Amino acid sequence: MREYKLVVLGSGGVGKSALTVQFVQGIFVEKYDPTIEDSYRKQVEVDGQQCMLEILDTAGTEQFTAMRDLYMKNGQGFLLVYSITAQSTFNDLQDLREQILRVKDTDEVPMILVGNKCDLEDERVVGKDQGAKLAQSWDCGFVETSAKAKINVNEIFFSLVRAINKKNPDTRGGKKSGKSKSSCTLL
Amino acid sequence: MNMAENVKVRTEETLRVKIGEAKNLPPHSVTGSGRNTFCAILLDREEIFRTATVEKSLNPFFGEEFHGEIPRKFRYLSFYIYDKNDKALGKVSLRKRELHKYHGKEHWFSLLPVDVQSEVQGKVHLEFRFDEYLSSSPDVTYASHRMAVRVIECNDLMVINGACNPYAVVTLSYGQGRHREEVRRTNVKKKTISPLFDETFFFDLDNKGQNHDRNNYYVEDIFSGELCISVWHDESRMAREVLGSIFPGVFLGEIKISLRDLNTSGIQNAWYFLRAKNDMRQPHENVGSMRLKISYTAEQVFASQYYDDLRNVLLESPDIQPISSSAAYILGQIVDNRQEVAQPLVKVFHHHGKIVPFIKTLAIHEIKQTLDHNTLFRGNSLLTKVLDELMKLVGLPYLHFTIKPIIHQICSEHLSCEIDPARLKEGENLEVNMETLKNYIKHIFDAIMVSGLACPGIMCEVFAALKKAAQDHLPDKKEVRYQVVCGFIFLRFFAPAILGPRFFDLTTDTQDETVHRTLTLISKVIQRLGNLVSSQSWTYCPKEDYMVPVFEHFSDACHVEAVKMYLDIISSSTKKHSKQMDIEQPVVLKEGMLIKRAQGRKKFGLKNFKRRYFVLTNQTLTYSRSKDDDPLFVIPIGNILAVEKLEEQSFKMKYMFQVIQPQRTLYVQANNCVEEKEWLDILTKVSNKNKNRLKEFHPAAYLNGHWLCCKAVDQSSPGCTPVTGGLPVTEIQVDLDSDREVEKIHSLFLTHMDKMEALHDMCGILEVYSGEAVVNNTSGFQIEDSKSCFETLNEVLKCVISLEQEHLHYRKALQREMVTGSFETPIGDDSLIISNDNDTKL
Ligand SMILES: Nc1nc2c(ncn2[C@@H]2O[C@H](COP(=O)(O)OP(=O)(O)OP(=O)(O)O)[C@@H](O)[C@H]2O)c(=O)[nH]1
Ligand SMILES: [Mg+2]
Repeated sequence: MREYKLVVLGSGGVGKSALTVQFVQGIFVEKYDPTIEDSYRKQVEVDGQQCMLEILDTAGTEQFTAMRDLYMKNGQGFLLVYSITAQSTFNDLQDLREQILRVKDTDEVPMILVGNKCDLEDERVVGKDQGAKLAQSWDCGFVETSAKAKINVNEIFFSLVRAINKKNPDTRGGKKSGKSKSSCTLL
Repeated sequence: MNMAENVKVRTEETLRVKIGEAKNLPPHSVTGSGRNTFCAILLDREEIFRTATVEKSLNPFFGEEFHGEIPRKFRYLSFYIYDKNDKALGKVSLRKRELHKYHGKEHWFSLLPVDVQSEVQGKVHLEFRFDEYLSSSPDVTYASHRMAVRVIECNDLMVINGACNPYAVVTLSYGQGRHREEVRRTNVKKKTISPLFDETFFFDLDNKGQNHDRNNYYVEDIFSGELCISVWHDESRMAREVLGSIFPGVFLGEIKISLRDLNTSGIQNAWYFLRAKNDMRQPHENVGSMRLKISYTAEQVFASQYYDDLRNVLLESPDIQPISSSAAYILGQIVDNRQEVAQPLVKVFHHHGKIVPFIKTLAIHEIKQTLDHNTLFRGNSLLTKVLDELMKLVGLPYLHFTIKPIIHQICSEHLSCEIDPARLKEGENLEVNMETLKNYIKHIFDAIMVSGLACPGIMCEVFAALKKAAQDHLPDKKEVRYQVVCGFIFLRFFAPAILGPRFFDLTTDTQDETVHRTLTLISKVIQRLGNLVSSQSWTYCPKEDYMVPVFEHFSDACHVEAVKMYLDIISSSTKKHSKQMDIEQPVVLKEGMLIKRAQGRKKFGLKNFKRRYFVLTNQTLTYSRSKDDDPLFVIPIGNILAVEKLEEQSFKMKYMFQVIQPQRTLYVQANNCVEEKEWLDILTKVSNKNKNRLKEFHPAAYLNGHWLCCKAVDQSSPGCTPVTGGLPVTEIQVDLDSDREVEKIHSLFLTHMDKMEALHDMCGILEVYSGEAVVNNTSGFQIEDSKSCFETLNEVLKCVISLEQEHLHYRKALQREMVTGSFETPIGDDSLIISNDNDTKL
């Protein structure tokens, strides 16, 4: 079975853990308990193929970012999460993406831009078009989600797996072929 | 204001480097396998830092950080990757003046092969003169021409295998294709990197033209020739005696001058940088690349009064309503890197006793803007960064006092605490690991819980202010009062320190995987325990399954009560306990291996040099054989009369400093210039207030019956040079340099002038259209009150512009004074230490 190392990144309180736990365990975590570093494993079927997902839920708190490099080095695909109710969380992602590209030393890293908390339409400050535009400039997928209302939660993880597959179709033995030149346009 | 000529301008340089990783290193030529490598940072040729060794990899991940003050001039900053057997695999060399190009951003740099011939440093002082003199042969008297090359001295030559016995070779090549040569060499000077030769060589020019007919003599012919002055290290007398003068020695550098470039009338006298051999530029083989993040800053700091205007505008920030219109807040808006902003701000506000009102105003502002109190103070804002920096600035001794011993124990015991069945290694027992983990957690938890009274007063005041703000603005959310405090002390202080003890100076060692995993697990539990108090129920929280048993073990009323009490203590603003804060136990301020000279406590016995492990606490300076040994000698801080550099000539050793005590003086050698400065600074800091501090001292040692500096023969004769005071002594604290921090803020404003102007324009437009939302706010600026924001911006701009005028004047004055070819500014600054100009990939 192919293994996928997925990493969830974004500022503090945007709902990274809520999304991850919703996906893995089907529960919504109401209480905010800031993460240091949590990891989960889940087996899923994507496009008729069994996959073992290893999901790393990271800290949004900047004090822990010394570890980020290593996550980025080891991760194969990234969910970049912001909250549609806080502009700064959206702005923070640009740096994160740049850091991923630097560490990976390539322009083609599978990632999905995720605008979470879309159930809070009344408190929205980041427009859907803003997210879509950013994703377009990054040439990656974009989804608005709600961990609370269970909207698009599975989709983001599945899309990310597909993005990885697209970049690295041949996977026997888990070795990267590294040859694929296809761009990662998604969805 | 006009910059008076005699005003001292300090240059303060800081280097911060993140060494990420290297990749595609050349495999071992024999085994073809991975290598054990480390990375070193060099200033010119001097190593100032090295990472831990990463084993068996051609793509080593280092993940280390270096931070230090640069105490001396340098031209090149280099990074070398070494195989553990000390062979250099590759290097990145960057010129000082191109460092700004990479500032604060990560880059991949190509590694270049290291070859000895390209490793050059130092400079040479030369003089050229052309003479015309009359010579006569039996039948005619005619004018002859000759060139005099005077090799005066060299400076700062490279040391090869601990020695440097230099000599210079002057070669004149001429004729067609410059294939004819005339060679002269100086005597060998022993054991010096700054040899004084002062030897003059004469080269007769007349018979070297291509035209040998004297009557048609043209000096021009010879001017197609070239002079080469090369410097060599005479490696061994043996080799020379056996092999004779053909034995070439070790190349230290050269300069080449075309005779055409020399001025034939008059004397030319200049310093030249030595260069690498010219023909070294073969196509580079690929030896991999490395990822670095380099931040180098150099501030020119003027006298204090130049900063008063800007400082005052900044310090008014807490009183500005709304705070988003204050200078400090605006700075946070225009600069993306919040840490770069928070660091100087914290120091300035703290130094001037205004940090608490500043934080309080920021906190109230943020509370009002946060809709979901759940996530209050949990984002990455100016406020949270300011608090992070403050806690790092004032909280380190407290942190060390509280958890250093147990962190030390965990690192040295090296026990596995893995409790995730999926990650358990073979032969490990989950129950055993669980017990170990619980035991560690209990230790750390208890240590923190009893430490409340030791928490620095300023932190307590800040926490009290945060609590009060939460109370006032969210009166019906009782749990938030605890949440705001634990969100800082646990989430942003203890938990990160436990996870990355090296970043908080808790240890200098790197952690291997096992220890790192243990620390991660502990950090997670400590953070969770802190967070418990703000929960209505502390039971099940559905996250990683394997963590549940540990959480359950600690999640009970008793632990929650303890945390509550602790948080209450550290957030009570009564200054009562700030007295008790003077921690009784010693707190380690700095430690490390140094070399010291015997102090002469025994009357006879050799005064030799030994490696010792030094530890400086707030009470004593001690040294021992090795890290965990008992001290061999203890110097109470009160006994330190002065701490000063020692002149290199005393023992012919670099980086020596002296710790002067009533009966004796301890001479110590640091490993490099950065370390030397760190020790000098911290020792000066702790002993600055000593009543018996000396006013004068001897900058050199007492040897062979006299002081080398002033030649006084009486060993107890008073010093001949005034002591250095460290930083300028300001009113309250000596350890913060407010002028320098304001200078930093000035340069932040300056480099973000465009954004400031954009904000200025936007405020202007808003004003004109009386606040109607006509401005398309794509820049992400937050403007609450355009009028006050506009006014503040005007003031800031005024201060920044006038301060920059002073900088301009100063730079111009410097330029005027600069003489190319002088000792300070030798000719040929583009040395051939091959630079990586075009190597950035992004
Ligand atoms: N309304 C709503 N709230 C959400 C949603 N997702 C998360 N939250 C809430 O937002 C808060 C923070 O969520 P977390 O998932 O813990 O945030 P995080 O991104 O993991 O934060 P860090 O671990 O600190 O980086 C919690 O109180 C969640 O209940 C969502 O989709 N809608
Ligand atoms: Mg989380």
